[in-house]
Amino acid sequence: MNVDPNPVNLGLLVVVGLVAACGVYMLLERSLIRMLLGLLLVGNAVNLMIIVLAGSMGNPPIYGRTSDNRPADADPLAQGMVLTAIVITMGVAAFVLSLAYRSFTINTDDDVPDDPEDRKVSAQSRSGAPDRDRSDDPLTGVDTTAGDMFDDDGNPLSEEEIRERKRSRIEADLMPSDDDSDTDDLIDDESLLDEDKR
Amino acid sequence: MFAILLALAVTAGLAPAIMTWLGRRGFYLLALVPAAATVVVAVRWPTDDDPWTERISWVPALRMDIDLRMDTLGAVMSVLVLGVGALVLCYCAEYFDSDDEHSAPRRVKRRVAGFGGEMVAFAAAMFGLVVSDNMIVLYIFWEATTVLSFLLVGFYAQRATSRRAATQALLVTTAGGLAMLAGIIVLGERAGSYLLSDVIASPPSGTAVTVAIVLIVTGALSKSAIVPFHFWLPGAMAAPTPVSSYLHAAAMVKAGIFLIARLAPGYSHLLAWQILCVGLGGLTMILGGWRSLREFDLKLILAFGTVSQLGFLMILVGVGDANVALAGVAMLVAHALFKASLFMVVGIIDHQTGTRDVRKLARLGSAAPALAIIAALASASMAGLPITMGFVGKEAALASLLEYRGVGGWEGGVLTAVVVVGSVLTMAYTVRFLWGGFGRKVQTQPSAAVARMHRPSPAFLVPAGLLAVAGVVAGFLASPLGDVLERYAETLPAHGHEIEHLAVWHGFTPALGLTAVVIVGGVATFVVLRARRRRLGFTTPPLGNADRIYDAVLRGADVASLALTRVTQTGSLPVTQGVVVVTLVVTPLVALFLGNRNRLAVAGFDSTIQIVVGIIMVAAALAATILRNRLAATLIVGVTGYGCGMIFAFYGAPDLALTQFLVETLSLVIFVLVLRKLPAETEKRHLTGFRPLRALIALAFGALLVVMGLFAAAARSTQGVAVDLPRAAYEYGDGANAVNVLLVDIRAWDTLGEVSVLLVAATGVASMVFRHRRFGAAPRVADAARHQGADPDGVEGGSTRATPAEPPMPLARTTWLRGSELRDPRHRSMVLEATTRLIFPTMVVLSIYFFFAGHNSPGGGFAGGLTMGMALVLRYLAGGRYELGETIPFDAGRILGVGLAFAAGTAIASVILGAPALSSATIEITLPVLGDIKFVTALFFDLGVYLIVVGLVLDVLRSLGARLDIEETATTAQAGHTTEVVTNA
Repeated sequence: MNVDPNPVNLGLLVVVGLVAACGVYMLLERSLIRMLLGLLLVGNAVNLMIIVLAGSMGNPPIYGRTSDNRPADADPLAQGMVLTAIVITMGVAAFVLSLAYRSFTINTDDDVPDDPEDRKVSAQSRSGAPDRDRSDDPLTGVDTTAGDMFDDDGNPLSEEEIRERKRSRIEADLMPSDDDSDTDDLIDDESLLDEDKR
Repeated sequence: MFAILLALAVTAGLAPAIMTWLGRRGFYLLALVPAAATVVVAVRWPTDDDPWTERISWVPALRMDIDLRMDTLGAVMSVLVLGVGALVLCYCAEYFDSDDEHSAPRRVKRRVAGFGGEMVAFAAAMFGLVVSDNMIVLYIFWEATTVLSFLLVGFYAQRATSRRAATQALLVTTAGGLAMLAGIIVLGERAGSYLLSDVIASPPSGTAVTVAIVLIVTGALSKSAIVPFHFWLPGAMAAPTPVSSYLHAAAMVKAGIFLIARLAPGYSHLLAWQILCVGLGGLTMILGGWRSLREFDLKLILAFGTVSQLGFLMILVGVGDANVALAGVAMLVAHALFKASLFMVVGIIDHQTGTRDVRKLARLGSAAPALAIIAALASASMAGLPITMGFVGKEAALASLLEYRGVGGWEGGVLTAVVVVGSVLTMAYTVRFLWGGFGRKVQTQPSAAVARMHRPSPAFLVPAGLLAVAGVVAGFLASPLGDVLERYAETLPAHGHEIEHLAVWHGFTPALGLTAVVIVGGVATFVVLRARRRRLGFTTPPLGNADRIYDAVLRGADVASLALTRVTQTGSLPVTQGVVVVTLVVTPLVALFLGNRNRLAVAGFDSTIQIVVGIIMVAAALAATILRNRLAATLIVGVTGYGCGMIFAFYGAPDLALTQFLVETLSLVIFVLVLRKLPAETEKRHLTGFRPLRALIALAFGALLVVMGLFAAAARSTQGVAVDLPRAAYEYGDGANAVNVLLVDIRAWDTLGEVSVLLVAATGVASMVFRHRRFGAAPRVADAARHQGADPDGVEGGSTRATPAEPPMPLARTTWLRGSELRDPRHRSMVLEATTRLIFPTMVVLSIYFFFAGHNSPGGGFAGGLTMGMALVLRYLAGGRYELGETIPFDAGRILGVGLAFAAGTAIASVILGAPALSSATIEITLPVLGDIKFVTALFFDLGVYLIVVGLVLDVLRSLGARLDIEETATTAQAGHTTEVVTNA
């Protein structure tokens, strides 16, 4: 079953490599247009590479036609892939160009600056993370009792209102604050307990 | 069973509507469904010899079918889940009856309505969990209970503690659940079946299986709050009490116990199993009981008590001995009854007095005697006092553990000691609970909280009372109940002992003696601790706080993720792309280095033309990197494109060459259209630094392509498919041009995807430029007059004001292009207009020729569409934007849409006709003049491609061409206007 692989056209491969290298060099710049040009270079290089790898020169893959009396047909599969790639590259180029134009009308520049959101994240401390409650302890991130001081509608309550509600209303399912009191004797003066909690 | 699941699921879906309609009384209606289901299970009681099975095919390819199987254990759990569920729902009806119901905000009512649905859905998920035989389906129900528990625990979403508790329960149990999923898959693959019944009947063995079992047991431990996962259960007490009563006493926390009991017949002999289940169970039993004695909150006393009891249950079902397991199942039933009841009692106290703090309650027993009696009955069962179900279970447990020898012979004794110590603690916290909740505490008057309490309504007490009484009645019915439960115990080895029948009274046995020790020791512990609380240093937990460890783990994850984000997301696009390219270079090279390599076969250039073109391409690419002028760089990049086209042409790829030339030309036009708006040179201040580094990365990438290319070409070991394609295309696709047949027939799916991308790109371009109202046609000559008055975009009006010399309508004399009459005469070129007029029809004919001939010779939809696009470009360049509208007075979006409809329609039509999607047929007809015509239906598909390409070009011209023209005149006009104002001032 094993067949000897066709020798690959090293000359064209080197051309591919050099063009692609130039493309990547331009891709690593900040100007959108130059990045797009780099992408086009890489695209051309890779298209060429696919064709070169598919086999050596051959007849056009059209049934019954030959060219220069070549012995075999060129690979139609590779050509089909590259054909759509070429057209898509044009679509992408058009889109990136309109992007660059929009960027230019807004910033008078087609440069891509550092992403401010990313900058914000990297400058952020844990306490400022968006998934924190504002009532959390800013240093340790631990919940504080302030986080429970809301009414059923989610409106914040002041400490006085909370104490008043505790006295006048019967409210179920409130969690007690963590205390390590060393006695379980009766504390009947509720207001006193609330003072303690503060 | 499936009917029960369906009924519960439907009820859960309807529940919010029912609750909104009936208010809190809707809970009673909801309770009817699980109650009826309980009756169904009780009537259709299965045995282990004759289990109740149902099977519905779901995803057979993944061996994921809904296999339901109810045996004794499943039936017992079902009755607990459904029966307690029904009672809890009844309890909810009274619990959510707040004093100020009429003033309660609508949001609260809506939340309670949703709560009802979640409770029923939870019952459904839990029922599904206990009856599913397929392990993956079981896992799905398992995680469904986790998610519902998150929703239920987080009921008071406005409170931070509630949110935290919900998240904690979710994270801990999901982490365990994921471990379990991995274990299930390993076990299932090893056993060759995902059915629990198969996996238990013929357990596989080996290291992989042991690992799988450890993972599954980890999941079960996390769900049942066994150390070190125990902390989420006390935290989850932030939930409304009905949730605690149902999820954290009767149902969800039992899921882990259930799974262990289920797997014990097959796997309890493993050492890892014994360490995890029995060892950690014992630790949990003692730790939970100890922590319970510290708490002041009645609910937390119960919660830690539950942790302790779950540890006890884990020992009993994990040991894997028939007698011990029988005690375990009896204890399971007892625990569900008394703990659900006690939680309900706490809920009533909380609801009526507003506090659960033992330090604020005094003489509650005299104020609410009925409640106190219920609490006493349930507590008796919890402490294992005689004639209760708890007593039966604990007696059986002690008796069987005394008999149990285990592998080493010493396990029985140690376990008995552990259980006795745990039971002493249980007795102590039971007394503490009763004393704390109902005691007089040397007061003559009730405490303030008790004094202002409302007396609970009888309906509020009924569910708790029923469960408490059931706990005692079950004790009397121990013998018949035991006969039922023995069916499960028989699946386990008895180690040479007879299965001892359950009974309320066994006579004076050693176990009874231990019970007496437990009772005396428990009361003594309570009394001593009460008196010497301070001196014993009882206030700080001895082993650290698992809750703090959880916090630290979360915090560590936060810090780590921030650090990782800081490193990977610097926000600089060049850096990110550099990382991507370097990864792209390194990964394949490493793979190549580590893997097998073929002998290379290398040749040089094939022809002189390749050498010349290659040199030109490289030179052009190098020049592009240094040219700062955008237009020059674009042109020079175009040179490489044309070079590619040349090589394609000589390589035997005429289609590619044709397409490449057309695309290069069109791209140049598009570039110029945009670049005319940008400054010619890239600004110096924007030079991206790090040139040597960038060059290095770039060269590495280029080298990678060469190396990978060499090895990829050498890797071919058999004849490629390409050899047969042209003949196949001719014979099956009826087209001589293999590339075109490939595009529209063989690989048509691919092409369909790609033209969709083109459509998206076209729409994207238009939206970028127009920002709003992105569909429409290019403006026509007739529009110009209308635009003079009031342009919808408010731009063109300015333009006409600015250039009043421009005639509003074309003059009545012969012209080459109508639209160009509206242009500024300085921008017109008579030669270009005339040439365009003459050449345009020729180009259209060529485009149509390419389209039709494509199936048999170079051309096709892409080439034809691009040629048509070129013709449009010519009209636009020569005649301006109004000429474009005159040429094609249609909406570009409509052309794109029709194109996609053709392409997709071909796919659908062939499916409708019974063929696979996108297959083509050949129709031969003979026409009078044209002779025989062979017509391939793939042509319709190609027409779609053609239209989409034309639409893309038109859309680009309309936006980047016509629209940008308008914006330019507008800017000029505005500038002029401003100057005017300044001058006036």
